[in-house]
Amino acid sequence: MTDQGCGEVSDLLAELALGVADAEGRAGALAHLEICAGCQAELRSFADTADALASLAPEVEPPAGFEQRVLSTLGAARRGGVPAPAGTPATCAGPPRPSRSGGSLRRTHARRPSGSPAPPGRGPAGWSRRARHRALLASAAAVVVVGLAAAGLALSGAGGKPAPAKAVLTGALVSGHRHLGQVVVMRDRSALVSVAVHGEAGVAWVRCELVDAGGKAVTIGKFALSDGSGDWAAGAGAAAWEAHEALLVDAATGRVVARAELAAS
Amino acid sequence: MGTGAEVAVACDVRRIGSPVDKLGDEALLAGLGAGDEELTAAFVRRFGPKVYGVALAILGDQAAAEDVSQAAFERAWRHGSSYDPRRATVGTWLAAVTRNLAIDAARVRRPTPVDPSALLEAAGVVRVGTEAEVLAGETAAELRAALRRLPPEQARAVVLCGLAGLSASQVAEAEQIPLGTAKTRIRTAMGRLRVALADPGGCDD
Repeated sequence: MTDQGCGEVSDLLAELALGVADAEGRAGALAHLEICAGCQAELRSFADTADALASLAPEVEPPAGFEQRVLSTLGAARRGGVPAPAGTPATCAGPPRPSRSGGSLRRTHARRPSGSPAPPGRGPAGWSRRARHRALLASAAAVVVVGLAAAGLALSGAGGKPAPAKAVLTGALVSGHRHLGQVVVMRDRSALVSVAVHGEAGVAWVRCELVDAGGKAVTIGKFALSDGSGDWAAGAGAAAWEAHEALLVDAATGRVVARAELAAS
Repeated sequence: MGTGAEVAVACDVRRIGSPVDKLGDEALLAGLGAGDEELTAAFVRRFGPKVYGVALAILGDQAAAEDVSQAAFERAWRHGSSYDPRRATVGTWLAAVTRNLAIDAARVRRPTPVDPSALLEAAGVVRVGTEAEVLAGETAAELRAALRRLPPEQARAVVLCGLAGLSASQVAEAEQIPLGTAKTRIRTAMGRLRVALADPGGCDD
C-alpha cells in the first residue's frame, strides 16, 4: 500500500467517514492516517457527521418475529463460547428464517442461488469476505483505532471480546420506599456503571459513589438531572469489582438521595 | 467524568412498560455486552426499528436488511465496549455500525437507481417547522436543517452516500455527472454539514 499525502487523503476523508471510499483509496489513506494525527482528527470529525447522517434513516418496524430471531442469533453466538477474533464480521447463525420477498423496494437482492453451497463460515448475504478484507486493512492501522472505528472501518479490534456472561450487577435505586431508577455495574473490562434515575425533583447535580463491603466509598462521577431525571454512564475502574452498593449523593448538599444494593443480575 | 451532564442531556430517558425498558440506552448496551437476557431483549426491542431502518435504506430488500440487522446486533454485543458515550448516543453509534455492515453487504451486488428526493423526504429533511428542535440543540434536527440549506445537488449527493450507502462513482452514475463532480459535491456537502453541527446557530453558507 502506498502512502498518500495530506492533500490526497483530505480529499477522501468525507468518503472514508461515510464508509463509501473504494478499497484502493481506503488502503492508501489508512497508511497515511497511521502516521498523521492531523488527518486522524479530521477524519474523526467527519465521522461524527457521517454517523449523525446515518442516524437520520427513518425507523422501520421490522418484520414479525424479528426480535426473537435476533435473540436466537445472539444466544447461538454466545453458546459458541470462543468469540470471533477482533474485527471478524458477525455471522448470521440463527435459526432458518422464512424467506420474504422484497416487495416494492427499489433494489433486488442478489442472493446466492439457492442451489449453490454456502462458503464455509460466511454470512448468508455473502458480505463477510469483503468485511474480512476491510477488517484486515483495519488491523494494519491499529494505531488509529479510536478515530476510525467511528469512521466505519469495521475496527473495534481493541474491544473484540464479549464480556463473560453474568458479569453484570444490578440494583434498584430507592429512597425510603420510593423506587427512583436503576443502577447497572459491569464487572468486565469496561467497568461501566450506568445509572437511570427518575423523579428526584429539586436536585440539580448528583454524585455517583460505589461502596465496597467494608463501607469505603469511591466517587465515580457527577451528572446533572433534568427535571429530576437523568441517564448517565461512566467507567468505574477497579471499584466496579468491589462494589456492593451504589449511592447517589446531592452534589450541592452531600445528602444521600438514593441508594441501590447491587446483586448479580 | 466531566461529560456526565452532556450524557444526561443527550440520552433520552424512556418510559415504556417493563422496568428494564426504563433503563438508559447505555445500561441496556452494557447488559447486552454482559449477556443479560432481559437487558438484551430490551436493547433489541428499543433499537430494532432503527437498525432495521438503516439497513433497509441501504439495501432496499427486507431479507437482506434483516440479515444485516442481526449482524449489527451481534457486533454490538461483541464490540459494545468500543462505544464512547462522549462521541455519540448509543442510537447513533448503532446506526453507524449497521451502515458499515449494510454497505459491505450492498457492495457484492449491483444496485438499482435510488431516488434521492425520496431519501430526503424519508429522512424528514423536507419537513419544515423544525426550528424549535434546532434551537433545542437536537443533532438530528440541526442536521436536517443544514441539509435543507445545502444546494439541492449537494444534498442529493450526500444522502445518496450517507443514507443509501452509494459510492462516489455510483453517485456519479445516478446523477449523470462526472466522478470528480460527484466527489466534490460529497466533500463540500460533508464539510458544510460538519460546520453546521459544530456551530448550529452559525451561517454555513
